[in-house]
Amino acid sequence: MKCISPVIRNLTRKPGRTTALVLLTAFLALSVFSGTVVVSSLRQGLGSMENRLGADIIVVPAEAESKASLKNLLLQGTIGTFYMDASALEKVRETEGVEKASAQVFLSSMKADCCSVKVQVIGFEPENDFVVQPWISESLNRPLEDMEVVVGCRVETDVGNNFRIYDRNCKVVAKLAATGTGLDTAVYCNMETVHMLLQAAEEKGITHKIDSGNDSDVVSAIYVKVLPGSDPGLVNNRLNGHVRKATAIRTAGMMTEVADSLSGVSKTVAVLIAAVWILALVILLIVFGMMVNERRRELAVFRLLGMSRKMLSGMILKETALCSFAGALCGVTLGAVLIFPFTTLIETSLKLPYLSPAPGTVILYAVFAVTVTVLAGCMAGTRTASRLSRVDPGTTLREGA
Amino acid sequence: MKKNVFCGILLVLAAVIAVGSFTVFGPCVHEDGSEAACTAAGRAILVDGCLITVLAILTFLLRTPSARIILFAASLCLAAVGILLPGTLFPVCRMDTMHCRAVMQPVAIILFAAAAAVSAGGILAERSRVRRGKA
Repeated sequence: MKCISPVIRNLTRKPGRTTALVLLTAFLALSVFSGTVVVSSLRQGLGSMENRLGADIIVVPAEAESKASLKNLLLQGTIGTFYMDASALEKVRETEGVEKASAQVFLSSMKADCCSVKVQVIGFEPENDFVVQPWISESLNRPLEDMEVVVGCRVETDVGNNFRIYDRNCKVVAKLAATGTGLDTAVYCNMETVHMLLQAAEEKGITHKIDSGNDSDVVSAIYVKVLPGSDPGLVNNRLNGHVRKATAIRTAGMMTEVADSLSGVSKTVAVLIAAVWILALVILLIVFGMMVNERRRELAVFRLLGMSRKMLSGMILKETALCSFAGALCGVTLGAVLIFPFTTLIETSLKLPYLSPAPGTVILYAVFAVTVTVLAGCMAGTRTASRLSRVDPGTTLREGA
Repeated sequence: MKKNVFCGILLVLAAVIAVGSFTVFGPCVHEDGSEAACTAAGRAILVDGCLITVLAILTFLLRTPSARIILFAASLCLAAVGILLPGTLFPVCRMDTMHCRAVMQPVAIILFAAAAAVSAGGILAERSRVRRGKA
């Protein structure tokens, strides 16, 4: 503290200059921290989506507007209700190159009493499923029974509560881990439950335009895993030819599109961070350059009082490091306040999967941002420190007289 | 000039809260015009923001340090209550993706917390003014 106190005195004596330095370095830390967190969250969201998707091909009814509709359903949780004949599942299973096929039925709830919004209900076959079941197994280690539901992490209800859909009470038995995609807002149940809910919807006068008229004869999407060694593109073409009134979509294509968007966002963020850094470093150098002229006489007096050149440059560097550290802390705090409460808003605005990193990783990013900012501040201050420490006290004081 | 910095910032924050509570970060709006679960929370934020605005204006007008301390303390209490309004004292919609959860609640909490910090700063500044006056 003894060696810091003259440094702090120098900083508090010129509050304007100190504030400007702190603000500049805060700006640097804010850009590094928030940029790193956003890009890392997007990467984690994409990884999570890849893990959760699990299927190579998705077969949907032709009227499902193919890829766009399905991508919106997966990424943003857009409600999708489209149906095709359940016989399509057998046709898919018979297709050469298909290893596994599992059907899902989509249903949108009315504005549920829980949330003032519609909720996507997804019915699946627990015995054949390889898409949702492995994910559900992480939260529930027994088969899903009739009128039991598992909810995404963003559906605000707790395990053990009743969830009302079309005036039917469904018991919430598990809540899933976050994926950063639209699937976090969905409700999952078995096929029996979703067919009961379809019937309940019809009793309430909500028609789902099912051609056959029988709710249990429909599916919304069929998830396909191809045999190891088979070409997914070839299987996709076979499915498109074999299953009538349906479209087969390769998930790899969808993932590539999402990865491309993510890469675009990452590049934009990187360019913005670089621009902010160049601008702020130039301003820092100008500020330090101005400081050389402003403090020439003050430091000459310090030299006359017996301070060595080393002590003088050390004092200037300590001032810079202290300002940079304070600024970096402010920047990281501001970044955290601006990023973490608004994750949902960022996700919906970017329309990309977004999953915040774990607290440990966030702390690492914060330490990284603070270190980089303090180093940048010190590097910018080093030149000034060496120039000021070389000041000849006699000449400087005579010039000013 | 210097002694009005805190009430100036408080006035700006309170005005932003009051105006924002029915514009940028207002409650959810149903397509059919019916009230959402968060409408009451939105109204409460508006009222709280207006009250803090009035207190900030009074702080500007009054010159007595003790009166200003009382007004800042009242603003601090109202801002603290404001932090609890969306979600704790008044319900918000229960889906994470709803506007009230994604925008209204975090923005209101951040702005009320900032107003509370400014009010606390105002109290400390006024107290040091009183001490300097006595010395």
